[in-house]
Amino acid sequence: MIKNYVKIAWRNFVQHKWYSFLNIGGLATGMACSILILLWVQNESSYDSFHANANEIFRLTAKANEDFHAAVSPAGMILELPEEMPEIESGLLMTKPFDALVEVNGQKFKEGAFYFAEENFLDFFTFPLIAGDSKTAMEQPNGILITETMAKKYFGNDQALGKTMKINNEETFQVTGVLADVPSNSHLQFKAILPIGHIAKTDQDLINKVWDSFDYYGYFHFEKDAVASVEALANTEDKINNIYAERMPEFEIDFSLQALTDIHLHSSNLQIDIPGHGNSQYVSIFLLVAFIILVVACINYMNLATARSSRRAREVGLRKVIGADRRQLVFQFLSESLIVSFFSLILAVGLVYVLLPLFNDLAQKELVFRIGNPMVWTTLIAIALASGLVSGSYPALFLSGFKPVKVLKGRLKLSKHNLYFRNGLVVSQFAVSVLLLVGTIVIFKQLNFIKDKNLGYNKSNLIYIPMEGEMWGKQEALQAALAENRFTNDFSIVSDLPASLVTGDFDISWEGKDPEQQVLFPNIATDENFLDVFQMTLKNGRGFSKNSFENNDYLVNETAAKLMGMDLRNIVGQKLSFRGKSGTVIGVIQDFNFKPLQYAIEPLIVWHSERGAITVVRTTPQDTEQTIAALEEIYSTLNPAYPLVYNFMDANLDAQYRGEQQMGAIFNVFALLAIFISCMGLYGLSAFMAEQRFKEIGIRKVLGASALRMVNMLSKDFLKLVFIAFIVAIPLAWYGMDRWLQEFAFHIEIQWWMFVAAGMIVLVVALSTVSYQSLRASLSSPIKSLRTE
Amino acid sequence: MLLQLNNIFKWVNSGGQRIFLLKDINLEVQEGEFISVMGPSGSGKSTLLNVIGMLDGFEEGEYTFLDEPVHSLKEKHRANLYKEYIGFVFQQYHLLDDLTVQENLEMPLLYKKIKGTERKAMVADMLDRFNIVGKKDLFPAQLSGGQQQLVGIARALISSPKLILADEPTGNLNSSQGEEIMALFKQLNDEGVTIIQVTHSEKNAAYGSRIINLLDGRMI
Ligand SMILES: Nc1ncnc2c1ncn2[C@@H]1O[C@H](COP(=O)(O)OP(=O)(O)OP(=O)(O)O)[C@@H](O)[C@H]1O
Ligand SMILES: [Mg+2]
Repeated sequence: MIKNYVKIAWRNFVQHKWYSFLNIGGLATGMACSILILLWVQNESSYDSFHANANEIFRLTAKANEDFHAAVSPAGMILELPEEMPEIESGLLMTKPFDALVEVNGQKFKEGAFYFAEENFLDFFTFPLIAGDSKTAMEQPNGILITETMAKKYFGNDQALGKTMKINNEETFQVTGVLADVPSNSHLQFKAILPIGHIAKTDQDLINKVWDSFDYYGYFHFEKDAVASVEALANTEDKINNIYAERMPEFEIDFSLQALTDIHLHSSNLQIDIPGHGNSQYVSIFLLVAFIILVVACINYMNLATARSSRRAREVGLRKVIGADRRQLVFQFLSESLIVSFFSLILAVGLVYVLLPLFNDLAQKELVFRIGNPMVWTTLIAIALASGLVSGSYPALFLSGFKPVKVLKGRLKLSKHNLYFRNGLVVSQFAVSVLLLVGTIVIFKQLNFIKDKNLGYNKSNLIYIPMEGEMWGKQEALQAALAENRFTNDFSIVSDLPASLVTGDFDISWEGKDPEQQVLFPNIATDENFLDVFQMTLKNGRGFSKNSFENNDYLVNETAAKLMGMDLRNIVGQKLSFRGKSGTVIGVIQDFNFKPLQYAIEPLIVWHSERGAITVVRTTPQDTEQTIAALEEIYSTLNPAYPLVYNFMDANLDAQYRGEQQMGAIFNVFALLAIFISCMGLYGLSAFMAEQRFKEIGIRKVLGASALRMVNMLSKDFLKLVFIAFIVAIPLAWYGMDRWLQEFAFHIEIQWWMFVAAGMIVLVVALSTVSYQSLRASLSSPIKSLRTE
Repeated sequence: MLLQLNNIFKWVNSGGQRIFLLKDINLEVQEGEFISVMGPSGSGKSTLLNVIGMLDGFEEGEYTFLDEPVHSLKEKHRANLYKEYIGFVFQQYHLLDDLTVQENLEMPLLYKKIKGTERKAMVADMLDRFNIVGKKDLFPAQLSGGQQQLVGIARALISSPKLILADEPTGNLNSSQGEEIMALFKQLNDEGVTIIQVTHSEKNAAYGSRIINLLDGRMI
């Protein structure tokens, strides 16, 4: 019997090539999209699960208040907590990543993503060594572990082990281990790991084992029981908080444990974190999109199948007359759709292989598609089975119920029920299209909004250069040199860029401050040119002068003034103590964004310093090249050991939203594909409707109706459906996009025109598809259409 | 006795009105009979045939087929009865367009779950008997009307039914083709198959052993 079905399915396929192409093409495209998205989702959800103890490792995070939750904790706490809590099997302290200038045999490169880590790093995590002894690799304070790629880069095919590397022009490190390259699904992406022993003698936090300065990442490996359930974990967290409260009664910090495997997707609310995290919301969004695409493709199949049902109905009647019972017919239709879906699956797999490199480019991933992997092929088969059964179910149940006499008597008059169902399918397809288009528009607008948002200062034409090497000690000479050159004289030296500021201090007091109040103040140290170079607006008072640092002058932003309970006028002249130094507020800066736009503006303190970590130079588009040349000269004279590394402020800001940009790009591509698949279905459906009404069209033409009139007649039905879909889609789209926008403290408002635009696009696409078909039908010779009955 | 209809009424409701398609039909058919149903267009001939063939239901009355009360049988049971004993031949042939002659003949056997080798033999037999071996790989659209009707009859016969129901089997054929079909029916009847045919032609009706006349859904 199966053989027979396959045969019939194949003949149907060949005989109705165009129809089959629409069907299989649509389904294959939909499946390929879903597979790609699932690969991406799988990769995003698999982060850090390769570690042997992944489920028992947690990262300590600290929450100062609702707005400030940080991924870092104090050095002393990370080092001493395992002694106080027997349920901790081991702890691991790591520094924040840093950049380094690496020199080997006179070759110099600037490298990022270096970390200092405790000696048990290799035990704690599962990063295998491919050369070196894991027991001793981290013992030597001047040892360094590098990745395979790094080893290749600096030592080629030579054995890297035992070789030396000069770092930052001063210290020499010896390679004590070569690590396999970090898996792409690790939240820690490093090029080298250095033993913490190297800085243990110089870092004040480490020497004093402080519990009040939050500057390190702390990971803990717990005994199973301590973290086995939600309650156990909560208990463990309570214990940690109690220990901290006892030790540091003057602070009120809420610590929590973040599962290692949650770090990648569930850190979007954490500040001072390692860059490059994903976002669980995007994973949900994409899962939904994958599902929607598959459903849209299945709807195509159902639509086309029911559209053909008058033809198929005759077949059903006939088969019943020659002895088929209902079960056999249901079976036949289901096997037909399963054949189609498995055939589509094969095509889809081919498509995935072809498209994966493109998708990897788009998503900035290195996904691989391993069809042999049991999880992969079971998922694939599940997809094919599900889509085959879903798309075959309606025709199977609906068609197999026909009474043979009704069908055989003549042309089957399709019941209202059938029509409603099909219209329902079309409506849901249109609704999905409107939904995705609104999503596309909102995401596009929001990303543009982010790009163009007035941050409170002028971010264009700012070049910045971090201090390196000898430059730290030559800041006066640097300032003099910069001031002398007309291309660089508009400069400022600052401690941090107002881009994703990670500083925060509690040590601030002012007259009338509630002693219970614990507020974290981000802060920046700048010279007196800061406001001018960044073109910030001073709301009241004045900026720093040359000797502001001697008087402990402070600038605050509007939010800080408000928080301190003062207004623009009376804040100026207010006494303020910051880090134990009391001084005066001399001016209020208009609020500006110094963190990504996901975050609201927090209170900010700007203090004056003669020295800084970053030089910022304002230039003009015409002068940019000369400015860079001038900087090149100044830096190579003052700091010859280091190549000049400069960046643009606006590029740095854009890079903060790379995750959003990427998500937007992926979303757009798949939204357009979903709409394209819908159009394919619509095209097929209208072709069948036109065919069904071929005779009617012929008769009307003989009676003298114009082609336009007939296009109008055929299109009117679709118009109604688009309108209903539009109404259905509005609340869904509004709800979904509003939730996405809520991630941003600064976001656009959803506006009615976005819905109208999406609706219009869908309408135009639908109408042109349908009119093309009806026009074709109405332009063909009426005699031909009358004869084909 | 093959089948018996007692006081069969069939109606449809249209605009609040009952329209009778069959009125008080009483009919007894013995095995081996050859019955012709006649009457003007719209008199209910096809309706009656469909009721007898269990393709359509009725509103009132009793229908006994081989001692089974068809009116109270479950759908599935009725389908089995039908599959086993009845073959249908239509004026419009109603072959499956996507299947070849051979496959069309094979289909009823597939539905009866007859094994492959046996099936092949039965199909070969039928092709032989109807002299259409040469056409076995053609599709219905490639056959003439008469040839299509031959295939239709062969298909109705292949599962050796006791009863053949033919609704104007020669209606779409020219007279010589028609005569051929009627001769075939006569021969089948001689072999013991019961036949009920609907026809407009006196000449064709004469092949039968009994004529039933219908007018407005009533037997006269
Ligand atoms: N579902 C229905 N609803 C309403 N009327 C029906 C229905 N089915 C059949 N009829 C009517 O019942 C009558 C009998 O139809 P039937 O097809 O049995 O006629 P017939 O005797 O076979 O005619 P012909 O010789 O033209 O084939 C016709 O008047 C037809 O219009
Ligand atoms: Mg009739």
